[in-house]
Amino acid sequence: MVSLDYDRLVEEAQRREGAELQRSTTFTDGMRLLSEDVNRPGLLTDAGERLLQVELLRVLTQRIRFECFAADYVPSNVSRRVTLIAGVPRAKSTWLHNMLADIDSHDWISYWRALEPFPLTSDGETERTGRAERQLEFMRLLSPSLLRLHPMRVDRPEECISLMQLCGASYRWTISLPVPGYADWLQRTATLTSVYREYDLLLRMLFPTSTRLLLKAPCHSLHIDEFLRVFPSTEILWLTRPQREVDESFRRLVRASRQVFCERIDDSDWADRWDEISPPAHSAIVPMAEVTRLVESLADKTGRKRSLPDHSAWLQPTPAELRSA
Amino acid sequence: MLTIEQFIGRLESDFGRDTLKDVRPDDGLYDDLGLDSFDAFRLILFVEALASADFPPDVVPPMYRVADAYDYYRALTIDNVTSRSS
Repeated sequence: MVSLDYDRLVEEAQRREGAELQRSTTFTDGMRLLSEDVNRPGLLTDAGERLLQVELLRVLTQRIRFECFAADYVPSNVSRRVTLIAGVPRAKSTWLHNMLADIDSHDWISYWRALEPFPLTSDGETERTGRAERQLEFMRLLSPSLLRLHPMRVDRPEECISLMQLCGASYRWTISLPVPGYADWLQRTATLTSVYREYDLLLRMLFPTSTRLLLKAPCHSLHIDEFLRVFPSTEILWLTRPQREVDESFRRLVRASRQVFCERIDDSDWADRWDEISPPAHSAIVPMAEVTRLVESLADKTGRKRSLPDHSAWLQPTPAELRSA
Repeated sequence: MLTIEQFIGRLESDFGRDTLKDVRPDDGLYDDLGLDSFDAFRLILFVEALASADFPPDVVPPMYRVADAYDYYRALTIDNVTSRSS
């Protein structure tokens, strides 16, 4: 059995990076809780343990690099507008995210860069992309339905929950794993406000001159007030869908995600979680059925009157997928 | 550390595939032993557990033959011994 002990993981990450992790931060609070939760006997499969260790070490080593870089970093004062895709999940938000990334002049973060943003240069880009590709291959192997339910490709836009793992607070963990202690901590307001400030800093490092950022994560809807405190100049596209459909579809996604790691699949902690969210004032409300119409109207507004890109292309299997099929 | 013969013995008895009999070092994992991609992943985990590797590498070397799997086992075991003594 590989080690998922928090202190040993930190020790290993520090050894690999030749630098120390800062102690007593929001990040370390969250990661310690997460580690305690995942070390419950019988929770994980052997494969799940192995993959989770890779994930945890990735996050820890990237965090160390983030902290080292942040020590001397002076953020730019560039005025920046954010377009946020939020609202309920399972309402074509990923599709909308991908379409907007292609037709509008926003900056967005790719999957591989969300997993390993450091170094900020292109050094090691091939290796980082390769690791992201391998991660997706293993996920596909262990849970074949997952990437059909939620397509992810290393070179396509990724939602915020992946990059936010570097801040220690991410719903990516609570979707992939039943981690009740961590989930409780994540929902506290004080946690998310400080996390969003760090997330803002991370985004400024990645896009120092950007004036328009495209972000997406339905999970921001659970903390939209805290998000807006840190990102006040945000244009929100709030997706809607009948509640019962959201609940069924999202829990299907949770089950598929947990199949990658867990012995027994239980999605009950996510039951009815989306009932309480409501859009802030001035949000653009976009029912799922209207996603295509919205993108067309945005294309018109930007003056780029061209046909929508064929997004079936990014759903096609990659060479790696074909090899493993 | 297991010899390659002992390693093959463990593979035959403990890997959980009834078809693994009379395995030889040069046998191809896929062509001769009939492993699929899921078995290949399980084999990685099996080798790492055999070597008691607490922190196996993120990137596993390619394995096409039984001997490659044994080489990975040896590398992990040597790493373990080195890290314990440092």
